[in-house]
Amino acid sequence: MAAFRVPDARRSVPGGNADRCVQGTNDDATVSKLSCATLGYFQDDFVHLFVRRRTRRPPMINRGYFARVQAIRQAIQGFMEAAGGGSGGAQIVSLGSGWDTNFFRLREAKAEPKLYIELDHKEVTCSKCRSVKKSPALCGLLAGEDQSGEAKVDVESGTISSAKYALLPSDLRDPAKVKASLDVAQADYEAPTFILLECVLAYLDGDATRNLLSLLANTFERCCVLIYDMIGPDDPFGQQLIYNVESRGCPLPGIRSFPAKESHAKLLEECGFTCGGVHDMLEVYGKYVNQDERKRTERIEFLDELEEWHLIMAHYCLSYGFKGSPDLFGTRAMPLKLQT
Amino acid sequence: MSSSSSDLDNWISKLKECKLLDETQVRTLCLRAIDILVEESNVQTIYPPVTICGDIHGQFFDVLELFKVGGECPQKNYLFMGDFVDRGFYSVETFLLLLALKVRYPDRIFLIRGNHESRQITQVYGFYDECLRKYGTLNVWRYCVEVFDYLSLAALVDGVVLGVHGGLSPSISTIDRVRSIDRKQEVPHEGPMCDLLWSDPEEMSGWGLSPRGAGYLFGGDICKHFNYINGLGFIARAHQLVMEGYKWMFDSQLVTVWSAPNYCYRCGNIASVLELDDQLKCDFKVFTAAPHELHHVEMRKITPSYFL
Repeated sequence: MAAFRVPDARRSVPGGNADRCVQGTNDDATVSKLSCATLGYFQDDFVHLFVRRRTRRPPMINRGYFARVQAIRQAIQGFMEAAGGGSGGAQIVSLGSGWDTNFFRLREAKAEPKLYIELDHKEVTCSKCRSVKKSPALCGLLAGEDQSGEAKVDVESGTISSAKYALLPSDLRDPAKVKASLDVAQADYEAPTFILLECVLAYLDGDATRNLLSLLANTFERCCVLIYDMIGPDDPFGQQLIYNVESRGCPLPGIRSFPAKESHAKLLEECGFTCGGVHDMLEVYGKYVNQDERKRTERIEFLDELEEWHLIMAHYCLSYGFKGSPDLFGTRAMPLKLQT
Repeated sequence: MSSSSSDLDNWISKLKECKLLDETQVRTLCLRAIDILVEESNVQTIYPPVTICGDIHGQFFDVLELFKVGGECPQKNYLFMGDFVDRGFYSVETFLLLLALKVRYPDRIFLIRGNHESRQITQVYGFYDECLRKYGTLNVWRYCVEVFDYLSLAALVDGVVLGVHGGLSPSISTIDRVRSIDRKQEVPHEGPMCDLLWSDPEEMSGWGLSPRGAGYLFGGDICKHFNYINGLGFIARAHQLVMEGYKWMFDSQLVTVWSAPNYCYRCGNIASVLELDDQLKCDFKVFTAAPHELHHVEMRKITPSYFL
C-alpha cells in the first residue's frame, strides 16, 4: 500500500520504474478495498471516490482484505477507547497511507482522534488531494464542527491541512524528513499516538525500517505501532510471491530483512518498542477478527479453496508494539480482543 | 455438424498452439463430445495402464508440460479427474484440447467431472469471464457447461482403483449407488453427487462438516471401510492442493493427485501425475511449471493478486 521510493531499484524490470510500481501497490490495494466494499464485506462510503475503474476481485482476495481492514479497524477502535478518544488527545499517524479512508470514516462517525496525520510519497498525496478537492463529501468532513477552521487542500504540493487532519508528502526512508513532516503537521509528541504501517515495510530495506521505527519511538513519548506486512519469503509460496511482485517491477527488500514473526518482534524491541504480539493473518482471522462479522462475510462469497487461503494468509502478519505505559493502550497485548 | 477425424486432428494441432477454435467449431466439438459422453457410465470402467491426473485449472502450458512428462495421448492412456477450468488464464483452450482428444480417442482418454465443471462455480472463478473476453459472447460457455452435465462422476481402474474428484459421501456406501445417480444435471448443492465432487479426506474418524460449505470431511475409518466393502485397493482423488504434487493418506488407502504446478501462478507447488502400469504399480511423475517465457503475452500482463 505504501508509495515510497526504494533505493535498490536494481531488481526492477528493464525500463520499469520501481517508484511508480511501489506507488501502484496503493492503487491495487484501493481497488481491492472497493471490491470488498461493493460486495458488502465492510462499509466504506469513501473508497469509491479514489478509484476510476471498479474491478471485482476473487473471493480469496476479498476475504483477505476484509481480514486486514477489519483487524485494523478493531485495533484503532481499541486504541481510541483506551486513550479516551479525540477529547483525550488521542492521535493517529498513518505512514505510507496511500488513499486510505480511515480518517473520513472515523470523522463521519464522530469518532475521530484529535489529529489524524498521513504521510506518503508526493505523487500519492497529490492525487489524494485531487480526489478530496473533487468531492464535496470529503471536503465537508475536513471542515471543523462549526464549519470553522477552513481546510486547505493544496493539490500542487500534495498537502492538506485542517483542524483534525493533515496530509503531507514525505520520504519514509529519511527520518529527518519524516520528523520535519510531523512537525509541520503539528503532531503532539506527548499525546497518546497510534501509528499505522499498513503493508509498507515490505517495500523498504531493513535499515530504512529500523531508522524509521527508532525515530518514531524516540519522538513520541507514548505511542503504539501496528504493522501489517508480508512474511515467509523462503518457502515455495513466498519465493513465488517475491518473483511475481518483483517481476512487475516492485522490489520487496523488507520481506527478506524481516522474514518471520520472530523477526518482527525483534525489530520492534530493537527500535525501542515493547512487543505486544505478532500474529499471522490466519491467526488474526481465526481468533481476533470479530466473529459476527466473520460469519456474516463468509456468506457473501463462496471460498472453495482453503489450501491456497491458508498459504496466502500465513504469509502476512500483524505485529504490535508500544512505548510508554501499556495502560494507555488498554492492554499489553495487541489491542484486538480475542474472540471466544 | 459433421466433422471428420482430419478436422479433429486440425483442431487438436490448433489447440496445442494455444489458438482458439471458432464458435461453430466449438459447437460441433461439444455436440460430438456429448454423443460420446452420454454413453459412458457414471462410473467409467478403465483398464490399465493409465495415467491419472488431478486438477488442471486452465493452466494450458502446464498441461502441455504434463503430456511431455507423462507421454502424449494416444500413446498413453489418461484419466483426468476434473477441474479443467477456472483460475488459470487458458480454461477455454485447456478444456477444448482435452475434449478434442476425448472425441478423437474416446477409449484412450477419460474425463470425469470436478466441482468447477459447474455453471455456478465458473461464473465466480473465471471460466465464464474468460469465454466472454475471448469470444465476446457467452455461446462457448453455454456449449461447454452443457458438456459438463454429461461428464462421468467416477472411474474404476481394473475394478480396484476408484478415481473421483473429491471423495466419499455419507449417502454412498457402494459403487453401485454411484451408478444409480442421475448425473445429467448441474452439480447440486448437496447430496451424493455433490459430495463426490466436493468432499475431502481428513485425519479424523467418522464424518465431519466441510469448511468449504459443500461436501463432507471423511476420516480414515470411513475410507478403509468403503474400500473394504467395495473391494478397492485405494482411492485416487484430486481437489486439494498438495505442495509436493501428491499425498498418500490412511495407510495408502487414498492418494491425492494434484496436476497444476505453481497453482494460480502463485502457490509455488510441484505437480504430479500417477502412472499405473499393467500390474497397477504406482509411479508418480512430478513436474514443475512450464518456463515462463513460453507463456502467452497475456500472462505477463496479468499478475496474480496479493494483498499489497
